[in-house]
Amino acid sequence: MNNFNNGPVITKKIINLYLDNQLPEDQYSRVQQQAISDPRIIKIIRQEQDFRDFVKNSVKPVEVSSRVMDVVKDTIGRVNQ
Amino acid sequence: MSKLTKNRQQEIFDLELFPHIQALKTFAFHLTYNEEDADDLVQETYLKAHKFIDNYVEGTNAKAWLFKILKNAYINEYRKKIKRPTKVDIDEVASYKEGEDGGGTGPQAAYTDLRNEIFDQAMGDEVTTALNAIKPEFKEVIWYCDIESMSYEEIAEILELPIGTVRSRLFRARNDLKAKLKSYAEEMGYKDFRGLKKNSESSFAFDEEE
Repeated sequence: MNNFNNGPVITKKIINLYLDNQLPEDQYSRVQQQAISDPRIIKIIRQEQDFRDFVKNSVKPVEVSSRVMDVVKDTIGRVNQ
Repeated sequence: MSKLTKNRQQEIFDLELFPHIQALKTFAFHLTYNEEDADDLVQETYLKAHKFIDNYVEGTNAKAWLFKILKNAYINEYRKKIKRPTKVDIDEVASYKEGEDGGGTGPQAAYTDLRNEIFDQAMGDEVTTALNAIKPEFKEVIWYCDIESMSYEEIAEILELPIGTVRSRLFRARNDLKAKLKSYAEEMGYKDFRGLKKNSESSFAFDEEE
């Protein structure tokens, strides 16, 4: 992180934090600025984002049965009466 | 008896807790691999949330709170159904977990082996294959962050870990997952797997901090 604060080096760890919205605002802006001037940074960011999208999209949402909602609401309603 | 009025409880459930039911069901299904068990687990989660509703701070981290309850409920109630040799005494774990489903603290080591088994049962595709090949604690952070889009703060709360640990664990987890997916892709005959080759063994000029 010190390198990032003091020099031009952007690590892959910093790119991870950038995509996770875990960087302070000034460092976030700095990644964006360097990405504009260095296509290698854009490439790494896109690859990382593609990887995350791939993992996320590999897991399909599973529908909740109406029974669950009914039971929960009924139970809560009865307990609260 | 809850300190909250009946109407306020209902509002909290409708506005803050029920919106996460789909995510909980998906997670539950990937834990149990059984539709009915997953429904039961989600149901149990919401009933426990109701029981411990006074522990919940309105407008805060509902999703993390519910996931924590669900994970503990799974360990307590559903772990018994898994027919495989156990490495830990489930009664001991269940006993310890009783009364802390609403978000208490406890030794993480108690369910390290359980986490192995939890994630052994998750998903069913190439991502599953790769996730099952990395450390269970790595799989866990990837699920919460990359699949459920939770913040580091939420993950830290669920896992009862410092944010710094979540951050470093996640970084290593992703690198391991990329390496496994790359191996899997190569075994399947793919030369390039959605940029994974460059990601996992990058010749990029960036500094590697680890």
